[in-house]
Amino acid sequence: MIHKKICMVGACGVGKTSLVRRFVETIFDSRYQTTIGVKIDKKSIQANGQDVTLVIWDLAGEDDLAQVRASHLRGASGYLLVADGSRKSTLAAALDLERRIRGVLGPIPFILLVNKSDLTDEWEADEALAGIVRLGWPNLRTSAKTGNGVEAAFQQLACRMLGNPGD
Amino acid sequence: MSPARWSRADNGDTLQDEQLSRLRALVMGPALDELNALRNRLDDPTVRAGETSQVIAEAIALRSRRGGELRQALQSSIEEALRISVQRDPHMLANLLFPVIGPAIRKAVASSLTGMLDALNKTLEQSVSVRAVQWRLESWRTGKSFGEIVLLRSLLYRVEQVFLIHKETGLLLGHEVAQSAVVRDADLVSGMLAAIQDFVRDSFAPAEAKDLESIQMGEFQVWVQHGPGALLACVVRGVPPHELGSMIQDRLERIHEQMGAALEDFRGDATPFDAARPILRSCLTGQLEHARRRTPWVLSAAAILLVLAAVTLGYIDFLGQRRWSAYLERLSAEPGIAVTSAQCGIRGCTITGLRDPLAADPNRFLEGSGIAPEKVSARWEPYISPAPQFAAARRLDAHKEAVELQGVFFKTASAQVAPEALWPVANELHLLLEAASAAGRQVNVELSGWTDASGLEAVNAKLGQERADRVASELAALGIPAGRLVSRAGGVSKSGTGGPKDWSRRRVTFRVVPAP
Ligand SMILES: Nc1nc2c(ncn2[C@@H]2O[C@H](COP(=O)(O)OP(=O)(O)OP(=O)(O)O)[C@@H](O)[C@H]2O)c(=O)[nH]1
Ligand SMILES: [Mg+2]
Repeated sequence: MIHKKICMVGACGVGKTSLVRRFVETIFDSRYQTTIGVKIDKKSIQANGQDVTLVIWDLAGEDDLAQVRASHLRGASGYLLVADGSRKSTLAAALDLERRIRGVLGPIPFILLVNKSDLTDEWEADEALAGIVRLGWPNLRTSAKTGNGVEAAFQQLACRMLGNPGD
Repeated sequence: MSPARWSRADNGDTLQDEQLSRLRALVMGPALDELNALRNRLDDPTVRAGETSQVIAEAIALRSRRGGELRQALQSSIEEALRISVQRDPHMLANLLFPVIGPAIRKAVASSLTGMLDALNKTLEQSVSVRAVQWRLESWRTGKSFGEIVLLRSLLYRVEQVFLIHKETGLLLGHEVAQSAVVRDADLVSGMLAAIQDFVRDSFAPAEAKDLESIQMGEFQVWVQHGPGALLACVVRGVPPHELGSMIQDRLERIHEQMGAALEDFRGDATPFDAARPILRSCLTGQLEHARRRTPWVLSAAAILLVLAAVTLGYIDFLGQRRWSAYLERLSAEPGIAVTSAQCGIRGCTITGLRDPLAADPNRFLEGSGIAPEKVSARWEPYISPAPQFAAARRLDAHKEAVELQGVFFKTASAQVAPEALWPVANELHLLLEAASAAGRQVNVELSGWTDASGLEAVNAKLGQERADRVASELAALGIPAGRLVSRAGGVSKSGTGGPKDWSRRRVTFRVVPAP
């Protein structure tokens, strides 16, 4: 069975850990416990008719103090770039992150996830998102709370990593 | 004519030139083409390079067969090339050397460790404790050196799990578990171990510094060795010996040796690394604890019996040790005896030391000590003890010798002696008796009267006694206590070389004997 390392990156509190828990354990917890360092999980799925185990490195979110560690990114085959749809600033952070990751890992598959799509009242990402879509980035709206788009996000990333950008 | 004129057709060509070349073509025909081709081969560097490349290997082989000049000529260039290459990327050379250099270093370290073990042996030999006694017993039983046993006993451990981890991705390449070990998801453990390594490197160490080698977690230790393409991590319960590190390192080197290419090409498929499973399994060593935990009750009963036997033996041994130390104490208290080393085990006791010839016999103290004399082998070197009682005894000995060298001589058939002739003897006897009382001893002096071989036997016997009696009474007159003097007839003396009338045979001699 093929194993692939992927990383969850994005600003603090955008829901990286929640997305992983939803994907791996299918549960959601509204309490917030910030990740320190890195937490590793895994799940096996099928992509392109092939079994693949995703080893998911859930990295601590970036804030003013801590930056994403290049050493944790090393060896990743792809990553999920997570932003919080209810906070515009996290999209700007995502833009910046993508540029830096490209510097470390080169152009590897990634998908921009605009998370917390269930918070329609506080949604403020549309405008910024429109700009990003113009860059040609693959993107998805997700909600760790409802589970919306979560499976699809990991699934699509796996397909891209295995060499089929479609699906 | 310059070569350029041949190959190039200038714009300023004259008609004459054209005609000339046509003429040349006519005259030389196909040879001209060949000539041009040849020239081309010589002039065009790419063509030349291409041709040389076809023969260069054979040429080098040929040339080196003819002698070492080629090597000498190339040496400096190659050295320079190597230097530049290492400067640009030291990792390349390091990675190439990795499987080679480790064993060499370990060999050197191992030999120095052996030396250390010897030294340890010597130090331990002198130490005494209950544990040491048990270990000694075991060393005797197993025939291993004492140092080895101490190491073994103090190092109880088991390698419960091994992880082979791809260095770049932190993905698991292989995982082996000892029986009955508790296993969590190996993929996650592998990832976390890799992450911890990154964390340590990022947080504490500059890029070139040493990697993390062991992590302590409760009763477990994780020992990690780093190679250029992979990490090998062993989860160990207990206290592993230092050699475990080199063992892991050795296995890791072997894996790099066998699977270097697979490590580099790894894209998430770990199946090629199944080939490394035997190597990984060989890391699961030190199963002592494991065996103990799962012993069936029959074995446990046997073990209990063994322990009882050992305890009994230990008790007997303990009693033996007590008697032995009592004996040693008694010996050390004795003046003129100095014990330098003593050992007592199941196989017997040995003792070495110094003993003044005047000191008491050490074997005398063995009587009633509970130690069988035949179990003790002793080696005593003679020495002069400075203890005062020995000094006096030695003085007494010297005076005894001086007295016994004295002699009183007579005329033929006479027992007459001049009192002055006895003054020197009286003086020596006086000193002897003084020395004896200083040494706290009582001595008597035996006087023997001798005759020469002339005359009748019966007369001679009487004459000998007379001579001795005479000397004794004269000495008493000179102040020597008569009670200390014992006179007897010696008979016909056999000393001297002269004939039957040898003067030296007509005499009285002295012998100092302990008083009854
Ligand atoms: N409503 C809603 N809340 C979410 C969603 N995803 C995450 N949250 C909440 O957002 C908070 C932060 O979520 P985490 O998953 O811990 O965020 P994170 O990105 O892992 O944060 P760091 O580890 O600090 O970088 C938590 O209180 C979550 O319950 C979502 O899709 N909808
Ligand atoms: Mg988190």
